Amino acid sequence: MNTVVQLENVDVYYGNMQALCNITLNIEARDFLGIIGPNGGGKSTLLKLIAGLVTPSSGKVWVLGRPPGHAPGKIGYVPQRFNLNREFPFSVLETILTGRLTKNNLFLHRYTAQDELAVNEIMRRLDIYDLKDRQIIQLSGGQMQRVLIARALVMEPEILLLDEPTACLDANSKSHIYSILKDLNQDMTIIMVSHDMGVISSHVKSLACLNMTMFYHGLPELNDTLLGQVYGCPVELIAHGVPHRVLPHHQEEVHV
Amino acid sequence: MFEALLSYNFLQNAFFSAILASIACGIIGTIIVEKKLIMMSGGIAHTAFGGIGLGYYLGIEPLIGAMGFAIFSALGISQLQNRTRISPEVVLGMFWALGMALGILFIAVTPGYPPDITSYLFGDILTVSRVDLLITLIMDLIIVAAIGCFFNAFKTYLFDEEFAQVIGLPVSRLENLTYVLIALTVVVLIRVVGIMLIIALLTAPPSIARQYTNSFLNTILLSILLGIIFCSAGLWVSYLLDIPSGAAIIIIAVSSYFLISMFKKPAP
Repeated sequence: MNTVVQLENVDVYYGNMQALCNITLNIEARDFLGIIGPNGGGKSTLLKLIAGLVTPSSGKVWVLGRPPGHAPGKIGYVPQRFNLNREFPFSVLETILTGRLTKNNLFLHRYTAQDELAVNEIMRRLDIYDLKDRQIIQLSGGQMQRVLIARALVMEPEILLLDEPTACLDANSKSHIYSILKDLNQDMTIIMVSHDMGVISSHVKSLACLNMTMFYHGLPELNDTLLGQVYGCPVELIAHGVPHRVLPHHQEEVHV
Repeated sequence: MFEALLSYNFLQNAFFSAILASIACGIIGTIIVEKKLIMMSGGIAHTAFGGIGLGYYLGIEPLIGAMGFAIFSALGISQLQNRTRISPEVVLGMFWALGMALGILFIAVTPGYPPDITSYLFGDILTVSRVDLLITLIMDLIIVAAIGCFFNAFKTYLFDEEFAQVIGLPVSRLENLTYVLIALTVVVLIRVVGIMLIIALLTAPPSIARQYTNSFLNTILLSILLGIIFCSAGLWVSYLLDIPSGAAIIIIAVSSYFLISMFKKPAP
């Protein structure tokens, strides 16, 4: 197995505030890594670090053997918050097409018929083909999220970064997206931040617990002491009502 | 009007200037409305006044001074924004007033009779010269070439800067280019509507155009057409009634926006 993402003693500061502390992490090719942790624990920052949107204050980062930001086109990124201009006069089709843009042929660039074919296929796969000509301002949160996933997938990236990709989706769309991700995972490394323990337990191959520092990285099996450490709150709050359990059974069940 | 247009050179110049200015205005106006850079553009325009003053003081063409100040302030504001974590509005406000202050200062210390600054503040399309036309034409070519050659990159950048960075687009270069193009447009428009009135001519056409089209390119094209209509109408009214042309153009543009928005059915 070869390592596609490598972090070595990485610290990230936003001004005086530390977001990540001494992170060392290796991610193998074709891994499906789930990242969990409390709000403000640095999960999004970790993804941005790999995407090249945030520079480390110290430590080293390699993505596909190069510094982050030097492997564009190979990294797909679906952000958690839409920092984009929802009012921009773009249709769904045009939005997803931008995923086919690469830095190499920007001069007099035109999207090719092949680009459109790829976009059409992705839209069909994600059940958003009917929305093709819809303006993005008219989309609901869940539809927009699927459009952004499509935009990342149409790049055919080697590494896919997902920041709570299914937060606005209903149960059906959610399981649909995860079955697609499972397919893609056969030749794509996926790194995903999620609060959804059910999703984490049933879909990921490995797990990382992050709260400024890395508390755990390994197989998706956890014990309550560790989760308590990461979240700093009773584990039951997180683990209950979950179809597939992440945790081994506790001594006693607590019914809420 | 048409007879007068054929027989008077200054009217022909004014008319061509209206067309050329509308091209720059339609393209850059659409960009600043989409990218929410309206106050930024106002700031650049007002800072340019410092350059006009400096031009007078040094005895060079004031518009050249204005261009220098406009480009310098556009890049300066973006640099300061990126470097300090202060709100852009703060830096903008300071540049805005500093430019005006420097302009007045330079004009005050220039020996001799004070020049007519009203035409720079409020525009005077009827005094546009051949040289002004040539400058406008060159600016237009630069703007059209820059945006036209990198159209898809610009659209992606305007839509989602973060994603543009992830896929490796040269985001900071696109940003600086956008700011420089705003500065050039401001210089072009100083002659037509003047520093104080520029913002309205930049924003009214795209705001109307957006109500009728859902395409970025069509917004630009429609804005250019509307700009030409507003400028020529303003020019005509100002010639007919002998009122200031800049004021006439802006009043027509803005009242058109209000009228159209009022009578347009709300979008479904």
